[in-house]
Amino acid sequence: MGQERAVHVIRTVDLVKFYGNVQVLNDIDFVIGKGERVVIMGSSGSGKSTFIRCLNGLEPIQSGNIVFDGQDIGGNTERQWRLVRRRIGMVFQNYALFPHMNALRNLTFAPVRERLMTPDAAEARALALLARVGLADKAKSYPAQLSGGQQQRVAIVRAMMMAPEVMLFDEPTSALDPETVGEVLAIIQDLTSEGLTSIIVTHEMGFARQCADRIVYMDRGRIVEEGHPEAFFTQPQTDRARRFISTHR
Amino acid sequence: MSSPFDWSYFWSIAFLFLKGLEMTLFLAVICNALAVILAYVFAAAVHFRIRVVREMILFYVSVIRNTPLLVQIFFFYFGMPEIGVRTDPTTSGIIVLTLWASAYQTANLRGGIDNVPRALTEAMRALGLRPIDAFVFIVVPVATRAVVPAMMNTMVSTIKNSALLSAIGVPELTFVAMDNIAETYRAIENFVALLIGYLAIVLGFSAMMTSLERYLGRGYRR
Repeated sequence: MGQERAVHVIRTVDLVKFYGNVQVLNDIDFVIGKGERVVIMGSSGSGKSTFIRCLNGLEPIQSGNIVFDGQDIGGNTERQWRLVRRRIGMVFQNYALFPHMNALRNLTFAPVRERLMTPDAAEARALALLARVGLADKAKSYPAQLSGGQQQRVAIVRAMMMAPEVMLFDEPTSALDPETVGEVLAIIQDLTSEGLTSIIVTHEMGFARQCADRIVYMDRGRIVEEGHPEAFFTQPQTDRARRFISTHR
Repeated sequence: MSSPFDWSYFWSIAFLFLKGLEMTLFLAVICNALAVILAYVFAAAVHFRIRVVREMILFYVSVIRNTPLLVQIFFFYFGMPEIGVRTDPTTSGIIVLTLWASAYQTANLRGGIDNVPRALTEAMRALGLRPIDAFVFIVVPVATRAVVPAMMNTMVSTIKNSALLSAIGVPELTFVAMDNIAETYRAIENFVALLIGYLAIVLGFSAMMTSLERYLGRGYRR
């Protein structure tokens, strides 16, 4: 087990997920190593969002294992998941900032409330991270006063406040207009560049090609293909992947 | 014999009306405040699916909302003494009106809580927040803001419905007016005073609620 901990941060074995009678994830075997940046691609309905939502327990699974830091967390109760989630940050498509709190309080609320940081420490970290994503002057702004791109940057910082070991990005730029996609992707690239293990679900080919250490391509609830971005984009091994790449270019 | 509207009589009843006004205001403040507090407790119990308690609350809300308030008042004041619960008119009035208002406020709040965006709920879970913290600091404020207009409507209804308590002799505004009329047979002056009294209370209340709404809405405007 100790050996495994050094190699894998998260590993899934035969992960199976149903929505009612519909099987959406089919025997997913997946591994991500420490500091690795994996981009998951696939057409809508392929199960890629559902998959990463299983990794922090937002979606219950029906069978299989999720091993995080050497421990099987697949059968966790909601209470046990809560502790795992502090170590796995998540960014959503629609930002999901708390509308009644300004940016600064959105960032400090959870760590202070859960007594993981003192208010002063949380505020200092929040301001430093806000500055890093170019929003130093927006600390007192409410979500409704920020653009979509700015809100998503705040949401990314919120997920990073507790210094997670893994970051999950669930289509972080899908709700943004084309001009702001680039700024958010640049932030994600910057913040994950120092070896933060991250799994990013996205349709942005350019980003995937440039940033990913590995591409995982999913189709109909299965991992169909995975590999280095250059290999994936220039020589896809399956017809499905080939078609996907040609339609998304 | 007398002019259509007797101003000197009108002013002579002012003092009596002030006493009635005081009682109506008292009922308005006490019943609305207690009802809102109870509604948050009830809505929380329903939200967290506390066994049996949840079903009891939903039953109570359904009974109150689907029966006439006047019948509830009579039931409590005339019916309950037969099983040993005897209270004076004012206490009965406060209890019934509070329970009536809190049923509606619970329904209002539940509507707001159910409509808190799913994305927000997931964000709270993803951050590892304790369910109680998420409820108190995120769900309740977001839901409350959405239902302030509905809660304000219920509060106004509560104030106006306090008039029904005159039926069991609670010495509030309407009771004072009816009492005066029974004594002097002067209806128009009493009813004018009555309308002015209610109008003043309700408009005052509305102004307070509007400023509360503005306070809760800070940050939502660009």
